[in-house]
Amino acid sequence: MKKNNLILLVEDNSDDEALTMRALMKNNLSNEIVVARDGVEALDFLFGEGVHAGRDTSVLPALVLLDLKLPKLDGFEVLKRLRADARTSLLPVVILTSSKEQQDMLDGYGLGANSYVRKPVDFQQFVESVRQLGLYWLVINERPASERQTA
Amino acid sequence: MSQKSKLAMTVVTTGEILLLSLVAVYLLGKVVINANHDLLRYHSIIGELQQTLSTLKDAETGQRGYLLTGRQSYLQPYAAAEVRVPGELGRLQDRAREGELSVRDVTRLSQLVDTKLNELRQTMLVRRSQGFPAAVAAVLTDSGKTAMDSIRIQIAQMIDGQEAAFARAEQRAARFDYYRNVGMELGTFLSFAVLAWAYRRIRDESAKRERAALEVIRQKDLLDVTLASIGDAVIVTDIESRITFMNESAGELTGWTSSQALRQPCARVFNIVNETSRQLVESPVDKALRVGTIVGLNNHTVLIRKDGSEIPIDHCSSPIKEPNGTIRGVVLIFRNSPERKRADDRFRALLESAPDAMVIVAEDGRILQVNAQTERLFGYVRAELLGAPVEKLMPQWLRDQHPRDGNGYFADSSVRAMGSGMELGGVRKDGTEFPIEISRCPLKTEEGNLISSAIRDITERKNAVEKLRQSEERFRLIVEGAKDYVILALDPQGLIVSWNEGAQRIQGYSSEEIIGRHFSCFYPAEDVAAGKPLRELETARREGTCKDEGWRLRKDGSRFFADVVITTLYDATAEIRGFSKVTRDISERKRAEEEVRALTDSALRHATQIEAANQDLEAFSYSVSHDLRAPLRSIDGFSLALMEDYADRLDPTATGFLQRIRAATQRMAQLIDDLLSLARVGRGEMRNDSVDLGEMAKAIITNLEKEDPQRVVDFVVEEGVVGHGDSRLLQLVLENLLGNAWKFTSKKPHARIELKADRQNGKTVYSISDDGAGFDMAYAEKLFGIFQRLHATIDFPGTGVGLAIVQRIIKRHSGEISAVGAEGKGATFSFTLKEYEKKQPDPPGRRQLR
Repeated sequence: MKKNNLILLVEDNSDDEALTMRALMKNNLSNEIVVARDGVEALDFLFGEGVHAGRDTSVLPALVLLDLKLPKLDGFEVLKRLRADARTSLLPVVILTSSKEQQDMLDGYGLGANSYVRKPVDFQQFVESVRQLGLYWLVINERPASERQTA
Repeated sequence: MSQKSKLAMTVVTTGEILLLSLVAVYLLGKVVINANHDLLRYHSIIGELQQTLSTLKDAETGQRGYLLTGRQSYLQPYAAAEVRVPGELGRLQDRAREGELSVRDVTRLSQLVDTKLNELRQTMLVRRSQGFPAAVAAVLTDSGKTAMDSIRIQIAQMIDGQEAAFARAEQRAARFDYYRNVGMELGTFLSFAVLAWAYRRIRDESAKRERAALEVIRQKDLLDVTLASIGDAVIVTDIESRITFMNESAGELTGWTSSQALRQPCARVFNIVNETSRQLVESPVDKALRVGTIVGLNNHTVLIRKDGSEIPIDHCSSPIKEPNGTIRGVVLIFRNSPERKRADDRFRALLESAPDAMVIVAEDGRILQVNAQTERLFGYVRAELLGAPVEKLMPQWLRDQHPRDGNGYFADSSVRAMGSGMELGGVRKDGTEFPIEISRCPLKTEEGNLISSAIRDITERKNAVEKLRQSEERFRLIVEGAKDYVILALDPQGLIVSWNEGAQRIQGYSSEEIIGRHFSCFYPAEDVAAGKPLRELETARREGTCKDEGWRLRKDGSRFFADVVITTLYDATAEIRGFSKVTRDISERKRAEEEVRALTDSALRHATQIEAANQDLEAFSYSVSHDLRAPLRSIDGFSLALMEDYADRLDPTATGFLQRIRAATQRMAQLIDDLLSLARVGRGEMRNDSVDLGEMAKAIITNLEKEDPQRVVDFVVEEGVVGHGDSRLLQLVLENLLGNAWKFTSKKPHARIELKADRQNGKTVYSISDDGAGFDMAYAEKLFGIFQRLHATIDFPGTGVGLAIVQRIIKRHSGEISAVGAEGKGATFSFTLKEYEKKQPDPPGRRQLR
């Protein structure tokens, strides 16, 4: 059981994807990133279905960065299904979004999000946010050992 | 015959026998003594006779000696004899006189003695005078000898006689002595015999008595056991009514232990009262002692136990008599009377369950029984009423009114039912009087004729009747006078029976024209054809009322829009008596309502549109927040990427343009956020918090100081500046106003910002003042407009949305906001909030004035 630093980035906007990748790169976190461009793809990856059929699902990401506005299944629905499945119920999920709506925060935390981060318009601030996220979730935060064995 | 008398008789008999035998012995003894006495006498007499003879022989001897010798000395014996003879003869003569000797014998003897003595003297005289020879001659005549012999014979005869008597007396004495002895022996024997008999008798008697005593003890034991085991209570008393025995049942019933009760006066232990009159009852023991016969079962007594509780009992007592009729005591038997108790309980339950106050009165007018309702109604406790005259419950006027009755309304022995018009008065303990109604019925009981009365307080009914009368009167006046309402009464079939002025005014009929007609004449023909009038009556009959709004006809055939309420009227037996029908002409109201409805409809449409607009705005806001920012991030991100990755190929001008692009995106992002805030202010539920604005302001200033630590700003805030409203929105207000103050004082090296609250015109006015750039009052109006800015962005950055947000929030709090300022002299923003008076603390302004 090796400790992985895989990050699943769920993001449909290619600009945002590029910028997020850039921010991750700037923080030396880009070597293990999987991008899902809609909610369905994100679930397929996690559960080894659809385009990701046959994937070794024992390898789960250390962190999911989840946008809320997504095609097909939105971020809330993805989160709901993640939490409903025993394999991913404890997976760290950080909502990364443009929205500052109170209701979105309440819904996100209500469905079991671990964090809620608003993407700042200022890219320098965004880079800083991503740095802190990576530091916290991949380095500081301790994950339970059994987490990946439930699959 | 009693033992004692037997013994007494025995003793007496024995004594008598002994006495008799003693008397016999004594008498016989006396006879014997007499006989011996006689023997002695005979002996003496014999002696005396022989003495006399001897004396005479002495005299003769002397004479002879003298005669022979002539000597004087021989005369001596003679002389002595001569002296003694008379005495000896005299004694014999005395005895003869007493009958102890024959008088003839003594007389002869005396003569013979005299003769002899003469012869002696003669001869001696001869001797002396004639000498011896002559004397011999005289002697030779033998006369002396003859005389002497005669004496001898005589005495011998007499002695013989005495001796014979002696022998006889001796025989007699011996015989009596024998009798005496026999008598004594016989008496002794008889006494012994009697004693022996008496002893036997007494001994037998004692044995019998002992046996009888044993039997008595055995009987007594048996009696005690029997009495003790009798289920009924038994008390035995002596003649003084003191308890000598009490069995277990009696102990249980009376509550006294046997040892406590013994020697107690019976009435103390057996304490009974008449259950109805509560009077003490004569002790049955005393009564039994008095009358001397059985005192039979006496019902209706209640035993008061030692602990004061009561038990209804039956009892009977009987004197204990000896065979000779002597009364020795009384036996009292009693028992709990379960049937009576049950009956009593039933009776009491019946009495208590009666809804009315029940009073049972004896013939003499005393109260025998009451129930709890009576206590409640009259305010007495039961004990105060029992035994009291019934007048206690009657007011004075009623007592006066029935003086002859004595017992007043309770005593009339006829049956009278409640509600038969017997309305009388009662008086409570506190003296208050109240109207009552009484029903009563006589009871024939063993205690005599009683009257049972049910009493009901009819104050409320009387009041109700009076109120009803008044209300009916009022109602009638109202109905008759009501001009705007058609108020009429229908009979069960729908025929009109009453008509008021309003009906005449609205529908045009006079009461003569309309009464007796069917109410369907008010309905348009099509309604009548459809059966509506009868259907409405049916509904009213079924549901109590029927309400309708619809067209009705006037007498002239014109229509009016009416509000109709038909109400079913019931009589006391729930039978339908008819209907009331109230009709109002609501044509005007109908029109008004239609107008209102039209307006409401339009308003509703409007509201729906607004709602739709709001929803659009919501969606719009969401898109704005989400989607408008995304391109901004791209612009900024890629501008920066360009600057970073292509720095070597960009000249300073290009880099400057990129800087401007990035600055513009930041402003745009801020603008978007502010616009969203503004939009959000108008939406959502308003909370009503009590907010410490002072504390809130301090926290905001602290944050501002952190962002600009090099600035020197005095922030003055009053203590206890409190407002009411939505804390999140008020936070926005303070953030904007304090942010502005902070911003517009940024050019001052030492600025001052103040928050305070004042009372003005009864309202709390909060104000935030600064000594910053201020503004020109000419533009004060524009200050709160959206995107309105009075300063160049380059001097003081901003979007021009903040004050618009503040104003909108204040308006949502039913408050007002205004600004006062002058260029370069600072600005003051004042606002009010909706007041919550009860929650409002002391006005802070006043506190400041102190």
